[in-house]
Amino acid sequence: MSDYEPKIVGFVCNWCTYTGADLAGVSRFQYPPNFIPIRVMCSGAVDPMYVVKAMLEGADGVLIGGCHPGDCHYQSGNYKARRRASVLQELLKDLGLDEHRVWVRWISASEGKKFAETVTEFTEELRKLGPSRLREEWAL
Amino acid sequence: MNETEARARTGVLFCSCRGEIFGGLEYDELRAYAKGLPDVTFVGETAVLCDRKGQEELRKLIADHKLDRVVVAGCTPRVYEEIVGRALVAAGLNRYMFEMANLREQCVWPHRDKLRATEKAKLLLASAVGRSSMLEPLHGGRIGTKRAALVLGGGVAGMQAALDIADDGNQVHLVELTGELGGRTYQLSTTFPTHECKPDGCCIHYCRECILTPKVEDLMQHPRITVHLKSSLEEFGGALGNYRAKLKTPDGPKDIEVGTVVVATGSQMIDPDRLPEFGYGKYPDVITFLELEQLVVAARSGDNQLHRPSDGKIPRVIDFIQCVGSRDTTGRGKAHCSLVCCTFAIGEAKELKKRYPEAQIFIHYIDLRGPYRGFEEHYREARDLGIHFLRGRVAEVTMGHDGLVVVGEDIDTGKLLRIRSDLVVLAAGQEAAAGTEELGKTFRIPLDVDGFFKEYNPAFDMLHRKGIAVVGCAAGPRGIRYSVQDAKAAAAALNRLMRSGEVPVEPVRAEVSEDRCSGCRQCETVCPAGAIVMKQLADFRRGTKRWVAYVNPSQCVACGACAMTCPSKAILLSNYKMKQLLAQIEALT
Repeated sequence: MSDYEPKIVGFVCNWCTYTGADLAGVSRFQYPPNFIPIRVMCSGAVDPMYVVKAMLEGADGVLIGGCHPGDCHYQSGNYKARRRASVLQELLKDLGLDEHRVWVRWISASEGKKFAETVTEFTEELRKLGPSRLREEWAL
Repeated sequence: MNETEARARTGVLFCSCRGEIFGGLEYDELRAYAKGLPDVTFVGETAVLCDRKGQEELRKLIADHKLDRVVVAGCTPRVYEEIVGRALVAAGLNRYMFEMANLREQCVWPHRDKLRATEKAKLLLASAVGRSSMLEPLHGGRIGTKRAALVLGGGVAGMQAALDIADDGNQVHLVELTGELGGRTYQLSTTFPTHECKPDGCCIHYCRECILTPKVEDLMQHPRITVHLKSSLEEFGGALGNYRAKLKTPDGPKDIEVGTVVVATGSQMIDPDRLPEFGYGKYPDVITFLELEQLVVAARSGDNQLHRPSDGKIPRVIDFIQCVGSRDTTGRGKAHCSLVCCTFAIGEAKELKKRYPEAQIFIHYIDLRGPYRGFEEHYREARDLGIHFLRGRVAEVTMGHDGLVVVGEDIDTGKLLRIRSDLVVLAAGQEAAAGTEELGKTFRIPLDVDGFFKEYNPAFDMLHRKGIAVVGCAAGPRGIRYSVQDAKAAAAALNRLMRSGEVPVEPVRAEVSEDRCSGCRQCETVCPAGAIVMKQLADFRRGTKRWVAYVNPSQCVACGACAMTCPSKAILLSNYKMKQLLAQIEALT
């Protein structure tokens, strides 16, 4: 599939990564338009089911974006997100899914550049991995 | 899929942002796409939504087209959601019945490819419309507050906060660990650069007695301030408006109830023992700033002469060593700058030079930093007085055959220095006071990289959520003036909170469905605000009682950790419910 454009759904926290994404725009840093943000209050509130749901709905990759360790607006939400995501990645592996399609990244409100780079990098990675078959398979 | 009981009437309003947004998109295509989205009954556009005219337009559209919710496709909600919310309220809708599709910051600006940006804009729009179909009106409310505050720490910041809060008609409990008020300021002989005492005696204007004594008297005599000396905080709980504290006082434990809290616990001096090369503790004439202050105070009340500790001689060569434990990268001290030491050393050097014009005074510094008004004049005056400024770190202080020797370097001339000195004054820096970490847990205030309480970002005012403010050096080193300003700002904010006798409850918060709650207490464990407690509920079916979670509405910080953790989905964060997020996700395909 040469015209394959990966679709990334991002669950990004209101305080850091969403604001970092805004900064990327304000700074006119260019990144691939493959990323669709969904704003949540805290990365610690991202239920793994949302991630699975996004993948079932056709997302090729999911990015969970939060504040840097120690910088969580709610003190410890990002630690919860980190622990949960590593369990989820193990589970995905066990279920025969590609755990590399789920990324957790800490991007602060001042890291517009890092946001743009992360999305670029993730898009490239997903291009290499090819489209996710999940949606197709679960429609059988 | 997005069925609500009565079909939603969603209006999509595109804001062109003065052409900024429409120029980067295939707008007509996008507009047609929006028309086809579920529940969308109206699509319109405006040039600038955020000005008064735009908001008036929005109000009119809501009325004319009988809209019950709105999707604004324009800029980031981070900046403009307040404005849109207000316009909705003016139009008679609940202020939460809208969603914003961020076409500017997260679509047009970072994506120059017009076609692909339009494709992404469609997804952003679909996602916002999907979510908007699931929106529910939210209501905040108000609950009663105690018109009382707990002020922890009786330094200048705590004293000022106590006075300002009490003057607004609130009761104040001022809790001080030591036996006297005034904190570190009370240990100073003068304050720089604003006030200076005359070297030849008391001017009866500017020394600590003059600055602090009237303030202490104001406090002690204030009808609404209770000063608890030699006291500390033992237990703390509750929520904004209704905190409970147990104090340990010399008269035994005391229970108090307050609406808000000021944390003014200050900082502590870095112990120069941690840097043994300066000989502190080994040589009696190596002293800290605060010890020099005490010598000056003793001089004032004695023969008006400065006597050095070892033999009582009047020092003729004095060395000030700056950044002792501050800006330290060896791991023995702290990496941060303590901010006040340069101002202080120059002030003290001037005081000594005026007292003893023939004395040789050296200030060894790395960089001179004085982020204060008046510092420049202060510094120039010191130079004009003949005080020697030497840039470079001091290697060590040793004992020669006829006294102390300061060994260091003057970077500007490249010369090694060996100065025979009579008195060495160490600018020991400031670090977070002992117990800061524990207090941080008690009040749920995070600490910063240097271990101080993290300062509130005034741009994201969280004060109103908790009513707990950190002021003065507890939030990092700062001068007296800035500590007092902190205190006044915090007091003003807390006064405003308590003034009506009621505090606001945020509409976005976690809510428990008691029917679904199994009482497993996992939410209680993960709540970062301690807002969740268990309450007993009569179970009429079984004729027994069972435990369910209860969210204290004024304490909830709306992070959603509980909702994520709950295995029974009995606790949900309003405005971020599962159906709302799932609708967003489903709309992406």
